[in-house]
Amino acid sequence: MTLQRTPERGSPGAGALDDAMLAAARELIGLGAKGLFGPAADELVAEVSRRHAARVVYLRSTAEAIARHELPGADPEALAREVFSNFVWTHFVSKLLLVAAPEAAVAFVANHLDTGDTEAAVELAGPSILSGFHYTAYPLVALGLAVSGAAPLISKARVDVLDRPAAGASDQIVHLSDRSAAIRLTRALQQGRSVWALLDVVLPATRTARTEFLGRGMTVSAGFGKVARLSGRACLPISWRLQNDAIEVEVGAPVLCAEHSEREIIDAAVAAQAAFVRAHPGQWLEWYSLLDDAPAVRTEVRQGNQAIWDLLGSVL
Amino acid sequence: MTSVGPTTGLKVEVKPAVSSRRSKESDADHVLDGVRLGVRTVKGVIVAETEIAAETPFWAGEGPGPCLDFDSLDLLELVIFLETELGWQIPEEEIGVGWLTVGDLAAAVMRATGASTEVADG
Repeated sequence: MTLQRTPERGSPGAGALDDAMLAAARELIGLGAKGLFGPAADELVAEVSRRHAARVVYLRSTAEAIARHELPGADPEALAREVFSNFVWTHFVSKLLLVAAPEAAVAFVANHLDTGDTEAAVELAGPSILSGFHYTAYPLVALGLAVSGAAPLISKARVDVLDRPAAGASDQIVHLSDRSAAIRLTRALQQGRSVWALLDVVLPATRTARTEFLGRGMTVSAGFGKVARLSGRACLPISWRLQNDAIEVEVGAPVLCAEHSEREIIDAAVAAQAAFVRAHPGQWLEWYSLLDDAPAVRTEVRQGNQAIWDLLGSVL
Repeated sequence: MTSVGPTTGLKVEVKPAVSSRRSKESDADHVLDGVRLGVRTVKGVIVAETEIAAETPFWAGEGPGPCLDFDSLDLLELVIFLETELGWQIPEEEIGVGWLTVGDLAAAVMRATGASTEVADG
């Protein structure tokens, strides 16, 4: 994909780019679930990619992180471009559908996301912590699980566009920035409800733990281990990827938290994800979180996302 | 009724309803003592009684003077301690609501339990 240089905001070219992006967004919304894949989605990905202010830093950081880790035969820059494309699709194409046409999003996951294995695993292990990483299409997977028999409480790092009431399932969400989030998650597990937690993003000023990931260290939130231990419930590692316009979910062996320390729980959960990332590196959207300057990169990425959503808001 | 806390071995005596032998102020003191005990257990350090007053903030930046420097995981452990060791269950709708100080949490426990409680070191 050849990207044109982004015109300065306020310049004549900037307005044309905005119009093209908004036109692509409107077309995608008009197609409903069919808009998730195909020319409309590709067009929106291309338009957002052109406009995203953090594109360069995201690509550079992702390539750098991939290069530092044990992925024999990987081309870091090519993989970084694949990851960025998946990132844009996830954060803009899938979220746009979730916000603008939530019923279509629910219909999509009902037909294209098989939660059977996950539900069976929960049935066997009892209420569990469904733990994953930020892979492509993670908001759709969260939605699919939220409306499935597993119906976990969904933990989210922060309030974003998905918290609009129209996005659906908003009453099943716990924001990790809330001081009582850990209590709510633990209580849910104790009272018989599964929870969903993505381990690979650490909020500022939160307690962290170091674990091994692809031959190097990785910092994750310590809260996962503590909630797991105090609830005494199993941790079920799950991962997923887009395959032929459907989402394939893999469920790993349960980690029985009552039998392990917080450190062991974290290590086991991350190790399960490392195996998936090694097999499908292009699906993981948070490679840059492995770098020391990840907080600065994340700030820039978030600002870039917000600028795009400020524009997309006009089509909602 | 007496029970033994599963983790600490503390003997807990929970008296049903507010006792006519105990004033409301004593009830409040006992709950505050229980919360202090929980804080000391969670933070793993010996903190002098005078350092944990009802006005002591949990969170940094929430008021003048020293605070307990809690994070959300400390709060989780404290609530679990109060539930499992002292038998004080706080309803979902009260969790975290306005809990800026030790006294705020103690007040929530008082509202939730309405019981006179006594903690004896085991």
